[in-house]
Amino acid sequence: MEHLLQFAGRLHPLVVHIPIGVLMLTVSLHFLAFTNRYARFRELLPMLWLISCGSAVFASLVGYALSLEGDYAPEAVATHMWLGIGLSAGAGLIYLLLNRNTGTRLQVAGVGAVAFLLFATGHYGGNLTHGEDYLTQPLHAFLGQAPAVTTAAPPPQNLQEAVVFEHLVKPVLEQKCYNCHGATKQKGKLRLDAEKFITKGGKHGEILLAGQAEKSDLYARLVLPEEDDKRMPPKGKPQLTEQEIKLIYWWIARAGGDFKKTVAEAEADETTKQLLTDLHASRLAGAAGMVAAADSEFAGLNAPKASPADVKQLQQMGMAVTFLTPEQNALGVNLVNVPDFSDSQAAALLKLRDQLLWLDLSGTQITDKALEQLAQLKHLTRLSLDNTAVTDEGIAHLAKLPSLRYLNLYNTSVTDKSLPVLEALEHLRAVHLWQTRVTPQGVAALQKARGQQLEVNFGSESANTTSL
Amino acid sequence: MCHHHDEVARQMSRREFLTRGAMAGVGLAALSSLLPQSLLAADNDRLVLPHFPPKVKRVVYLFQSGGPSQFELFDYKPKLADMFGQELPASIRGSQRLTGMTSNQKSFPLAMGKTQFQQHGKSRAWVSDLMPHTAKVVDELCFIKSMHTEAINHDPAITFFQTGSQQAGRPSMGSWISYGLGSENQNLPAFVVLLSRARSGDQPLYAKLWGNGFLPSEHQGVIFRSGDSPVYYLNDPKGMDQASRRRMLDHLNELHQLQYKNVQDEEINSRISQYEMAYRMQSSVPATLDISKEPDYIYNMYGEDARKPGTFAANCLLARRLLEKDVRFVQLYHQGWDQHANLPKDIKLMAKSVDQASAALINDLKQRGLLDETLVIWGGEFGRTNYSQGKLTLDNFGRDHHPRCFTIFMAGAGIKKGFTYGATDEFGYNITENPVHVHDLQATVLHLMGIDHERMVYKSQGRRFRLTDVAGEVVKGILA
Repeated sequence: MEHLLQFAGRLHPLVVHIPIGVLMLTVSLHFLAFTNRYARFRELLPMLWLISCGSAVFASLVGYALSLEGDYAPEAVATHMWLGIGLSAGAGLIYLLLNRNTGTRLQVAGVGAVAFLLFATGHYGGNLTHGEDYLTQPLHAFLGQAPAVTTAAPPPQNLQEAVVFEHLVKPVLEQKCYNCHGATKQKGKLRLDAEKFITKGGKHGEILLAGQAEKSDLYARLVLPEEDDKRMPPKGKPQLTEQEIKLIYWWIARAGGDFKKTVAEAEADETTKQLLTDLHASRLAGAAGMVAAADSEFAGLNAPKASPADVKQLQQMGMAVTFLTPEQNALGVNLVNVPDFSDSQAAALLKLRDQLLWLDLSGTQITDKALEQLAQLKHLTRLSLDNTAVTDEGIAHLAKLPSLRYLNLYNTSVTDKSLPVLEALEHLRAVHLWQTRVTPQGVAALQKARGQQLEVNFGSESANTTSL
Repeated sequence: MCHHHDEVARQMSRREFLTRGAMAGVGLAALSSLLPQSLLAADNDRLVLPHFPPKVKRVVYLFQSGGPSQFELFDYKPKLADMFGQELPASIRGSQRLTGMTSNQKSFPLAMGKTQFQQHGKSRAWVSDLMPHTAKVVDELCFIKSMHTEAINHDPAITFFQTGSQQAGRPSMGSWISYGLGSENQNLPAFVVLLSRARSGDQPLYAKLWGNGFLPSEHQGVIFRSGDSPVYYLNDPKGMDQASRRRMLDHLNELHQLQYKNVQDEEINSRISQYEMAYRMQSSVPATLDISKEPDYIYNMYGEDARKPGTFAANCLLARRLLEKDVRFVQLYHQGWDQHANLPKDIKLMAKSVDQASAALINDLKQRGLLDETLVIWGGEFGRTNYSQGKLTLDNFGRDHHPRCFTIFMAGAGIKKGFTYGATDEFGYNITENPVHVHDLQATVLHLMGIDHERMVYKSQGRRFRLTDVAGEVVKGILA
């Protein structure tokens, strides 16, 4: 009996699509039937609603059987279950209403409510199977935001201080295991998203035996042949890399599956050191990448498309105008073809003040005067002023450009006086100060104030020492 | 953004197309009424770029022709030294094809000479002692140790890297990018090619590698040479002044326009724009390519070789000057890595000829703030075998072509710094994780420039073509 129930439960993902299809059709036809043209559909409606209700009830029953297996988080199941029950009841109610010839307004409300319930139930069901961020993650990525769910903290810069589990093992589990063994879903009654769950194990008992990797399911199942039913992650799901598998083996076998030990305390041999260094480096880079994606310079851009006439005018002055987004609402302007571009022409750029993000004035004739005007280009993220006559006086105006991320001042006569302005530009990621009058002490102070968030480029060592 | 297309579209309206077709007696009018408008519009007019915000404005590709040995440069395999002279296990070699040069060998002894490796930088990347300058910039680099290709001989392999197809005739990567993004600098071509002076015995390179294929011919790579006359036939002949040249071009232009009205061949527009570009280059090129005024500390960075025209170092310096002027795609080729024999001795010379200048280019771009918007690519068309071709001693052996795995590196905008992607097995024979195919690399380069490789297509001879043919996936793992 238990096995039959299990079988019925596992039919749910299949069976559930019948009410979805039937209900979509029924809802659509019901709305069409309000019009005179399709009035003939009306006689179909009672039968369709009966089928809808029946199939929804059937899907709910097998769904309940599935929930008995206990692979899913009870709270998450509850939402989906009650929505499903509501949906079945709603469909039945409309069937009853139709038999009593109720008014159109009540029908519209009822059918609308059922349609809403249908999408809600389906959505929460989908979240159960695929994980909560499955649907929205691409949108976050599209908007340049960090993925909604990530708990792994970036590791410390020094590998020796990194905690083996927290900084190296956990990110692997998060990426490759949480989807089925996490907060929303617990296949085989196993959760891997915290120390207490890992030590507790799943329905087959403990999965982590300190020092005995081959006997620990947490490792042993990773290296079963791909065809084996017990292999984890199962065939077709994203697999652990060879390095990640080696890491987990080493953590259980040699580091005793300890949750607190740092790399220094775990005493790795030479080969493992190499492995840990590699993993650490990629983890660091990954964390940095995530930050970069989280604050893309194009996020939150809502300017209208640039007027073609304005663009054309700049092009006729010899400027290279580049579209930076497919919506053509962010522009880059490069003055490489107009080396004699001067202060008097700067006003021409202001027409595109809403769209202009990248501006390359490198090697032109502009002076501080132009910067006074250009400070109105409040969306600028990249500005190249290298090889121009700008001085500290002009740089002071840049304080009005809070979005600046990249600023090139190489081969200008700016001095340490400009550094407080730069330090206050909170989004600044890179500033280039080679061959300026800025002092090494000034650079050091700026670097210290902004830390790793800002790359201060003072030229490569060899070039500086030989040029001074 | 593609002015020539606008031009064609404007001049050749649907009505003109139909009347001309009818006049030619093709009876197209009847047929065309059955077709949707979209099929009649010139297919290649619809490219709107970028597909998404770009990370990179320019690319410099330092192509190492011949296939540098990954085992002597970046892919450290201590196992090869441990098992020196022992047979490559059959289980590792499998049944894959070998070239005709080693397939008759009775034995495949694992080879490793006296090259030493050390870890460098914060990223602890392994680099051999043959590349001491590159070793100093590893924290700027992104190594891909799991490149693989389909071709096993030089010409198809280079053609594959450059054009996405092993057969000649497709546009080069630089041509595609020139076609898609055009040139910001009106006075220089978008796609410039710099060749190191070849030595005898080097594998040859052909102009098809930087050809425009079916794209309009203004997108072909233009070869610049260092020295007095950087571009062939660019200078006016003796006795001809600028004014006469201008008059001659104006009259020629009128003739071209007449011809265009008659035959509507897009190549005529290309030709007009090429004449005009050449005219502008007469003044822009000498100024851009004059490296004689570069200060001494720059020569110290790139090495004294940079003073000799035609060396890789001189070309790296030229490349930097072109990138400073916003040339979109600079393609260098350096020949001589095809070491089937005498590898230990020859690879030392080769490494010496590229190491300092490669690292200097990265440092130089960095100090000028250009590395934040430029992508540098360094690598060859395939790798080399872990076993010896011919007789093996500790001091002398050779390595055959090996397309199944090899190492390249990149640096610059949009990609992770101080990072290694992909790995090979302990024999360095097969890839164990994150394989990167040539089409994947091409897709990634386009991606960094804001182009979706699946959407930049050009219809030719009835088929839509892409740089990545029908494959390729962006290597997300290396994107910053």
